[in-house]
Amino acid sequence: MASAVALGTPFRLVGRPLPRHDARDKVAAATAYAADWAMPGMLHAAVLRSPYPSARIVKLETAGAQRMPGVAVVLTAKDVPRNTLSTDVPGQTTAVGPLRATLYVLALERVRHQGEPVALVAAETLEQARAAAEAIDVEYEPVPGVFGPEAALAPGAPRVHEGGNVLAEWRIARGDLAAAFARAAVVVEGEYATQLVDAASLEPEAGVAWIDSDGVITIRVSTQVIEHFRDVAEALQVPQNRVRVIGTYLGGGFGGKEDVTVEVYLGLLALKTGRPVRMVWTRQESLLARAKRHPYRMRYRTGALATGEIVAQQIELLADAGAYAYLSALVLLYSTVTAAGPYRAPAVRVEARVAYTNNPPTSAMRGFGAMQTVFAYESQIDQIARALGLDPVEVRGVNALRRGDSLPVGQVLETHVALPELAARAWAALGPPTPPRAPHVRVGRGLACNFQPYGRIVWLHDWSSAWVGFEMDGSLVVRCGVPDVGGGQASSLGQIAAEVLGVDFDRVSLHISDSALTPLAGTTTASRQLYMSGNAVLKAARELRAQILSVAASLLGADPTALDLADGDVVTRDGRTLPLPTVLSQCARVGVPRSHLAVYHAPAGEPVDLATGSGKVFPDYTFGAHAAEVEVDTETGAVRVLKYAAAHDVGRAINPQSVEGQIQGGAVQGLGYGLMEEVVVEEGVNLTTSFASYLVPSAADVPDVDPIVVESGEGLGPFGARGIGEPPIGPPAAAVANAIADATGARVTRLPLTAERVAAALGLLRT
Amino acid sequence: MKARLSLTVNGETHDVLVPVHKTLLEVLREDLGLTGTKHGCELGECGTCTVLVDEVPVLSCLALPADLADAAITTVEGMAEGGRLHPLQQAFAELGAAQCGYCTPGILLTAQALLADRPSPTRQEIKEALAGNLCRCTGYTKILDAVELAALRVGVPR
Amino acid sequence: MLRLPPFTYLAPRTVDDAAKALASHGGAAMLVAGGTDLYPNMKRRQFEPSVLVGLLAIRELRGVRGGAREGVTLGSCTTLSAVAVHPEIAAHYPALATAAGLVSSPQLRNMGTIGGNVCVDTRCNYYNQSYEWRKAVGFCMKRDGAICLVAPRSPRCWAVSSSDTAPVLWSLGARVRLRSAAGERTIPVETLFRDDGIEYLAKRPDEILTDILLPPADGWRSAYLKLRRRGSFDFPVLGVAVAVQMEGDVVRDARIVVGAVASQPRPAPAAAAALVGGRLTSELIARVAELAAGPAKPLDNTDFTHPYRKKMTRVFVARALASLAGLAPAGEPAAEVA
Repeated sequence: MASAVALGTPFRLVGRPLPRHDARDKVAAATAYAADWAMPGMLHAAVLRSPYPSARIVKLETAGAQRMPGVAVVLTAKDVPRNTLSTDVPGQTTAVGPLRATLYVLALERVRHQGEPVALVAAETLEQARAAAEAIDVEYEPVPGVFGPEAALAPGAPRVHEGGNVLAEWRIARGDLAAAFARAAVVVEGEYATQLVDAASLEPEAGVAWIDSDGVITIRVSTQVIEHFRDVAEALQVPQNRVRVIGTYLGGGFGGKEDVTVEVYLGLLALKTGRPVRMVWTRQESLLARAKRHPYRMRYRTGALATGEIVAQQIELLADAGAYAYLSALVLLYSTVTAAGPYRAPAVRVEARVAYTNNPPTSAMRGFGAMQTVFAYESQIDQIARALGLDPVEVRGVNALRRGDSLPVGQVLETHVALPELAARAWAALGPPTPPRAPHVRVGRGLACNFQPYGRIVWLHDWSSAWVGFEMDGSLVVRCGVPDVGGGQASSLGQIAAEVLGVDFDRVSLHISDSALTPLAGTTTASRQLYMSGNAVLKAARELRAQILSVAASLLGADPTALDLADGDVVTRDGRTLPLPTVLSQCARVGVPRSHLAVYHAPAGEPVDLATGSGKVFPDYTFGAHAAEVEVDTETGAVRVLKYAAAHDVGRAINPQSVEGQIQGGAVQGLGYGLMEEVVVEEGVNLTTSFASYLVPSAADVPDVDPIVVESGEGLGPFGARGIGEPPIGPPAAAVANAIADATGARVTRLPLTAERVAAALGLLRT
Repeated sequence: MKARLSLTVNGETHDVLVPVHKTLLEVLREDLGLTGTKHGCELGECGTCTVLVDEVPVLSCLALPADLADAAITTVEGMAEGGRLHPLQQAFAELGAAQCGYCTPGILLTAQALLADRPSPTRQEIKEALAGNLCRCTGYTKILDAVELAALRVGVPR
Repeated sequence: MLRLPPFTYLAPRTVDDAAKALASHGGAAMLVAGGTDLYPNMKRRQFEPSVLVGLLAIRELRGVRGGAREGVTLGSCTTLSAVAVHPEIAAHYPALATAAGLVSSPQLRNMGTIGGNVCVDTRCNYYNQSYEWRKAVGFCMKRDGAICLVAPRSPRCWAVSSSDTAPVLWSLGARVRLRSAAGERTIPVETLFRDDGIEYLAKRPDEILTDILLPPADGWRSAYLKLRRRGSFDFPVLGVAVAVQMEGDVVRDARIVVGAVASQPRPAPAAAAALVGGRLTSELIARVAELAAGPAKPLDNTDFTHPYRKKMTRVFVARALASLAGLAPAGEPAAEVA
């Protein structure tokens, strides 16, 4: 439970583990997810995808398919008004460095990855749509491809795109590296590899589109980003105000529904047919087609003094973007900024590159580049501790960043860093050591810390808006374009509004995620919604409160500052109450609005010159420390996690239940990443197209996660909250790797930490 | 080949005329309008589509309605009684065991079958019973907590 | 979602009717019981039968009869869940209860049958894929294609037997009863399997596996250990079945059968023979385990590399024998999650 950090003001609702407003509907299965929607006369859609990772389309003939029974329309690239999609930051700015717009709605002459969309079909039934897609006459001529970032960067490598295979490069250089290494008492070198990972939300990509009675193309879709209505409008070449995206409650997102999925296809098909159209991907399609988490190759050289103090970090990062840019340049930026870890280091070099290949495209996934680096920097610091005989908690305490320190990129930390406390608490939470249950089993413990930005890069000028208003009976309405991916994004906003306006939580109605009817809130990504939309709601609620109290003050002949809103009444210090409906009627009479629309702008900044370490990249960071106790079977290499504790400074837990849920769920997703999940690709061909081979951990595979919620009150969000959506996925892989090393002395540097890899590290596979 | 079938779902008998190759999941969602049962992987590899057949959890994506003429099928829509949530549903809502909520129907039904069989299961027994239901959001801890809470409440008369 | 291709469904009430239906439709018909193996394969179009003969309505195929003294007969459509918890099986043929209880997930075991698991299709990374995927890589010889994508010069298919219960039944000396419109035969279970990824069963297409007959328990002890990545869902990457018949503390007879390393379960007769006449000491177990790892020749077409799986064969045989000898540490799980 939440640690007791005295924060002064007593809250009515903030800090209480209230069941979410959407919980009852979800357990009663009353929530209508994207695929649950059906409309009269609805068509069903299918996508024809490239079977080849690299090929030219030499023939694409749709006439036969078009004549198949039930077929309404067959579309190819030439039917798309504007066939390029920009990987933009929707609704905000486009000035994001080397980002290029290079995604096609449908492939035109060339396919660059297996699963790339080539044609669309809408038909009366799903079977008819699939049959027609299969009947499209398409011929490919395979073209040599590149299937790894190293190969892509080699001289003479086939080019995935005209401009060459380097998609983005970032560099950081701080301090005199050679001099720093010369001072070091110990230098640890390591090469680390992380794998291709799928978001694997249990709800596949899905949506329904129709043309509304007023001619607006309306798309009800499972998305983390309703602002993609602009992408749809651009592709369809219609004004942006003629496209509306209604975001459903998502059956999980994790970054997998951050980029465009079905919405452009649906918009096109609805526009061409004038009929409602539904598209739901199969699991195979989802695993084939959706952008994934980047695999990284990371080379580290870390120097430390005998005290454990890190003095030098030399880091090379290489990531695989797959065939299209998506958000890779930004993902790499996150890696670059976080590469040295949440630690002080006077001399740092980071050289980071991301290359195009003909592998499945990679883009956003929970952790967004700041999580792959954790495996490397936490494995490094653990080896430094071992080399110097230092305690793992102590060595992190020695190096931990503090307020006022600057990151290698030059950003000065303006808020409290609770790292030493987090590490100590996570470590202590493991309790007494578990004795090994058998002679061939060893038990060990590992610690891993991390920091993850929350909120967008400052030069993206992030903003969110929200509307808060009273109905005449004193019930409250919140409108905010926030997509709820299942993390309780919407409910927390209701809790904040109810807190400020003194109404019970069940007197709040929340309207979310509609690009036409709710104020835009930006994406549910980057751990930003509580921070951004929380601040927007807080601002709107406070303004509204002032409006209401000023009217109440005139009715009561009191000073507005002496009034409070509580339990649906205006109350005075001396205990008089005025029912809210009375005040609201008076508002109507005197022309004072009973609602307020607020826009919250995050602190903005200019793009930094990374090489010279010129300053701020992210608004702020969330810090964490996880501790794992594992047993390792020294005959098989099998690893079982016995105990797990995860501590984060969340600034303020608006809803501790949701905070714990994010920590527990993120930690287990991180354990899946650390221990078993991997999309295996051979020469661009994805072998992992079902849940039989993409291994999501089951209840039998993971321990209970003990969530340790620390509240420094220092975050930039409402009431001092920090973002907590992504941070918990960072440390688990490293914590387990460090625990394996603690148990056995064997260090595994490649994820996932399979039994076979552990066995190899233990020397069991030598013949 | 279409078949005229009589399916008893949540105590109600439905006469449907459906292609025989439609799975129970498809018939529930598309022909009976019971969309509470969710589609996860369509190959029996995730447990999302779990329903009860004669109180036993099965995968509706791999069940053929033609085999279920004499069976009592329970979906998540059949858990609440007269608008009153089942104790499992109540506990899941209270403890935050449903996050995105997509795996929740299958997990609720699997847990209902467990509690019918073992009213006071150990935490390990709950884990084993739920080992066929993937959840991507919660990390399972709160799900296990909620099943324990529901078991406690059902066991103790209120 | 992926859908089943259309078919005509027959649900006979007796084995005779089922056998007749099968005979009358020739190669166009396939049998289905729980559907947990066939339907996913049909959705991927690995099979597109025009007629399915469903066995679930046949009462005589369900249930467990007899006892350990005279031998036990399992109807082929008894669910894996029922096999796993059956008291007589758990007490006297524990390896079978263990294996049945380790198949996939609880829900799948409530549907899948023991007969279905014995006959489960062989698996391969290049085969267990959707139609479009297989088409893209040019199909493999197991379905729609001409070559083996694992070993392109191979004249045969190397898809892997992935049954948990088959190696156990083999080690227990089980027999299976097959019925067709033409008659009935009862054969040792080991003769049901063939070392070919495509034609992996010696059962004729018109035959129905009706019963599995376990011999009297007669002093036999058995154990099954399964290697898989997760504690649920996964097919075996390796399955080790051992059975020993004890006379006092001396081994009178023994069988060791390894699953998931070839297109059929692989016996290790030399290893088993080395047990006979000996006491189950740590030394003997270590020697036997080394011998047992010999016949296992896993290919890299499922999960983990073959050198690792071969190493694990030795470890698992040793552990299974140790558990029968009472040497295993308390709390050793039946499934090794790796």
